[in-house]
Amino acid sequence: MESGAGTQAGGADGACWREIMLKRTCIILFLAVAVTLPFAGIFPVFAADGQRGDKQRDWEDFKGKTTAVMTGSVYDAIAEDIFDASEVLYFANQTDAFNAVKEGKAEIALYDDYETMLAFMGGDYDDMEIISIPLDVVHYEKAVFSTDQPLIDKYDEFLEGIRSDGTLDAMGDRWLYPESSREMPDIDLGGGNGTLTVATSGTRVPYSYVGDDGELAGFEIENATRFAAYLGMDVKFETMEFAGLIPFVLSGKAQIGANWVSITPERAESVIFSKPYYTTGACLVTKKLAAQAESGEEGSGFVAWLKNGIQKNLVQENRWKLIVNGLGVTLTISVSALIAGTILGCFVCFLLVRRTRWARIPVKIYNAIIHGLPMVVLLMVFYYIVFGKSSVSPIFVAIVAFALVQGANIGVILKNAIDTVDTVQIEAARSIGYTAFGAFRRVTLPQAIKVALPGYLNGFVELVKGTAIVGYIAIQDLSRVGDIIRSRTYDAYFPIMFVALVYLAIILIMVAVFKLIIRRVTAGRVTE
Amino acid sequence: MKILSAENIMKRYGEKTVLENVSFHIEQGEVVSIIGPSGTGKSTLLRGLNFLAPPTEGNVYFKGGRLSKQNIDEARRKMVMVFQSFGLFENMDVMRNITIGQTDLLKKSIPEAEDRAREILKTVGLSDHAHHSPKQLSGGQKQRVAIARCLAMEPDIILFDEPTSALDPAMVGEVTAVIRNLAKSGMTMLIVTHEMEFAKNISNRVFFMDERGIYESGTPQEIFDRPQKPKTQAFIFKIKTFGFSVKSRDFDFIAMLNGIDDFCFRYAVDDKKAGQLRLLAEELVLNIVVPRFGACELALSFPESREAYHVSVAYPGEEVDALETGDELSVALVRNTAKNIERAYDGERGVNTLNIDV
Repeated sequence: MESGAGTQAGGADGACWREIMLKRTCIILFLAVAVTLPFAGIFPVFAADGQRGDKQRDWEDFKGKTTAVMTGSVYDAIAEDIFDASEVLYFANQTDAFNAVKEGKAEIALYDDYETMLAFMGGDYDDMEIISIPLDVVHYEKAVFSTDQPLIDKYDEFLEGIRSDGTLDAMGDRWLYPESSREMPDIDLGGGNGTLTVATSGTRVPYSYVGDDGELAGFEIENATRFAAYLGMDVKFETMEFAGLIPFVLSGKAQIGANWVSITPERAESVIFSKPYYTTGACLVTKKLAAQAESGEEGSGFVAWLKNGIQKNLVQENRWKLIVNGLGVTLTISVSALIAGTILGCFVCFLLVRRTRWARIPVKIYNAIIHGLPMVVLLMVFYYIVFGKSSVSPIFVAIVAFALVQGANIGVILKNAIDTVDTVQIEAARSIGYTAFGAFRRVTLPQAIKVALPGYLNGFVELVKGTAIVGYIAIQDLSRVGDIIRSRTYDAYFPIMFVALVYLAIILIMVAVFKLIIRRVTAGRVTE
Repeated sequence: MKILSAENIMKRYGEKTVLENVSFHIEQGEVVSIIGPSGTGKSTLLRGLNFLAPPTEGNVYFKGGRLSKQNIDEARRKMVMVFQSFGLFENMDVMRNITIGQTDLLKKSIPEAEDRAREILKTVGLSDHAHHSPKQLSGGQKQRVAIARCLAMEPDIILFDEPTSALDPAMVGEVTAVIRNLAKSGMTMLIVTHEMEFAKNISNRVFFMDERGIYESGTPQEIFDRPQKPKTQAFIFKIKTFGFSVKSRDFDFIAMLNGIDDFCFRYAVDDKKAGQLRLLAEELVLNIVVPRFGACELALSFPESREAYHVSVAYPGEEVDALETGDELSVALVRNTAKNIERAYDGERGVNTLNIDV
C-alpha cells in the first residue's frame, strides 16, 4: 500500500537526481579539463619557442605586432601611435597581459618601468625578454589624483616636504629596485581628523600589492599612508580593477587615487593630478628568441608543479589567509543575499498572486528591470549611482544587488509553484473552517515548497557563482583574491585552478546540504 | 427548527446578475436537492451560502446567527461542503485528511481525532485505506474520503456541489449510497445534483432553479411528476426524453446510437427493452425515413408508469406514410416490434409524425 506513494516521492527524487547527476558529469568533465590544462598550456610554450638566433633586438623591431595592454592604462595609446599595432588585446591586469605573450596570444605586452620589470620578472617568466623603450620616445609622469583641489594642494605641499627631506628617495630605494627590502615602515596615524579613503588596485607590484599576511604594501601604499599621517588622518584603502580607479574617485567613494598612475591629458580632464613624483620610461615584454631548455628542470611533472604552486601561491606570505578571507566574503554575500532574496521573493510572490492589477504591475516592472540588466551592470549601477554618494560598504551594496536578483527569481519560482496546487484543495480547506492563511500554511505551502525547491537550489548555485564579479566594486571575494595572488606570483594557472576547486567544493557541499533539506521536507509527508 | 435561511440573496458578476431575491429556509434533518439546467446559479447559490463566493446582497442565517466575513470561518466548521472534484489535500494521507481539521480547528488531541477518523472511515467503507495517498484512490473513493473529512467536523449541515458529476458512471453508486445513509441518519443536506433518480429518491424537497432563482419548489413528487410551471415541465420532460435531430443523409448515427444507450442506462431500462428501442430507432431512422426524406427528428420517452416506451419520428414533406414506401424487411421488423403505431400529419408545417409504442 505504500508503493504508490513511494513511486511518487521517487519520481520527484528521480528528477532531482538526474539534475544532480548532470551537474556531476559536468564537474568531472571540468576537472578533466582543469587537470590537463597546465600540460596543454605549458608544453606548447616550449614547443612554440622554436625561433633561432641571438641577435640583440630593438624596440623598433616590434612595430605592427599583436600587442597586449592593460584596460584603462596608457599603453593602448602607445600601441596605436608608436607601435602601430596590428591588433590590441585588452586585459584586466598586467599579469594577464604578460601571460598572453607567454601563451603566444600576443607578441608583445607593454608596460612602464624598465627597472621594476627587470626586478620582478622571474620564475615563470624566465623565457621572457624585456626590451626598454627610450625615454625620448615615450615617458610618463606618475602622480596621485583626486577631485578635490584643496586636497591636491595639500598633497603638493606634502610632496615638497618629502622631496626635500630625502623621504621620497628613501621610499624609492625601499620599493623600486631589485635589491630593495620592500618592507612597510611603521607610520604613526590618527591625528583625529577623520579617515582618508584611498583607491588603489592592490595588483600592481611593487607599487600597490598584497604582501605578507594579506596586508597591502608598496610604494603607493606608503605614499598614501604618509600623506594621511601628514593630514593627521587615518587611512583606508579600497581595492579594485585598474580601470575602476578613476570612476571610483569621481563618484566620491574615495578622496584620492594612488596607483602609480600616469598623467595624461584625457585623465586630467576628469580628475585633478598632483605634481609628479616620478618620471618613468616604458618597456615591452616579449618571448626570448632562443628556446629556454633549462626552464624545464624546475618543474618536471605534475607533482612538482603542484608542490611549487602550493608553496608559491598559498604558503608563501601566508597567502592562504587571503583565500580564506575571500571565501568568507563570497559566502557572506551569497548567504545574506539568499536570505534577503528569499524574504523579498516571498513578498514578490505575495504581490504576484494578488488578483488586482495594481499589485502586479510594480512587480512586473521590477522583474523586467532586474532580468533585463547584466549582473555586472546592475552591480555598477547600484554602487556608483544608487549608493553613489553614500559611504555604505561595497559588500552591503553587493548583497542588496544580488538579493534583488534572487528576490525576482525566487518570487517567480514560488508563484509558479503555488500555481501548481489546485484551487479546489484550498477551497476545501476554507470550507471546513480554515482561514486563508491557515489553508495556505497547511495545504498550499507544503505542496508548493516541494515543487519550488529544485529551482530554488539552482538559483542559489547560480548566485554563488555569480558573486565572482563583485571584484568590480572593490570587494576582495574569492575570485578577486585569485587575481591578487596571480598578480603577485605571476603564476597563470595555479591560482585560477585552486579558486575553481574551492568554488566547486563549496557548491558541492551546498548542493548536498540542500538535498538533505529536500529529503526532510518531502519525505514522510504523504505516507507517514 | 430552521437551521439555514437565505434572505433575498443576490449575486452579480460584473453586469451579469446570476441570482436575484432568493429566499428559503432549511429545517433540521431536511434533505433538499437543487436541480435545473446548467448555468442557472445552482453552484453559485451553494457557494454564496458558505461565502466561498459571498452574495452581493442579502443575508444568510445559520442557526439563528447572521453570517458575515467575520464569523464565516467559525460557521464553516459546522456547515461543510463537498466538491465536485474532491479537493483532497494531496500532501497528506487519507487519515491526516480526516484528522487535520479536528486537531487544528476543533482542538482535539491526535489520538482522539484518529479514533473518530477510524469510526468515520468505517461508515464510508474505507477502513483499509487509512494510510493511502489520495493519488492512490479512485474517484469514488476520493469523494467518500472528502465526505469523511466533512463528517469529522461533526457538521450541522453538509452542502454537496455536484458530488457525482466528476465520477465514472460505475462509481456514482458508491457515493450516492454513502449520502443515502447520511440521510437515513438524519443529517441535514443541501445537494446540487444532475442525478434525477437520486434526487427524487433521497429528498424531502426539491428546488428547481431557473430565471436567476428558485423557479419552482416542492416535494419530489410535485416537481418530478406534476411540475406546475412551464420551464419545470420542459426540463422534466426533457430529462425523460432523448431527442436527436438528423439534418442530412451523412449524419452521425454513432452519436445517435450512443445517446440511446446513455438514456437507457440513466433510467435503468432493462437490456431487452433497450435492445428493442435501439433496433427500432436504427431501422426507422437509418433505413426507412432518412434515405427518402433526408431529415428527421427522433424522440424517445416513457411515462411515469413505464408500461410502455414511446418512440416518435417526425419527417418533412407531403402527407406520406413512410412505412408504406420503406424497405420491406425494415418495415416488417418495425411492425413486429411495435405494440401500437399511429401516424399524424401537420399540414401547416408540412410534418409527418410516426408515433410508436413499444
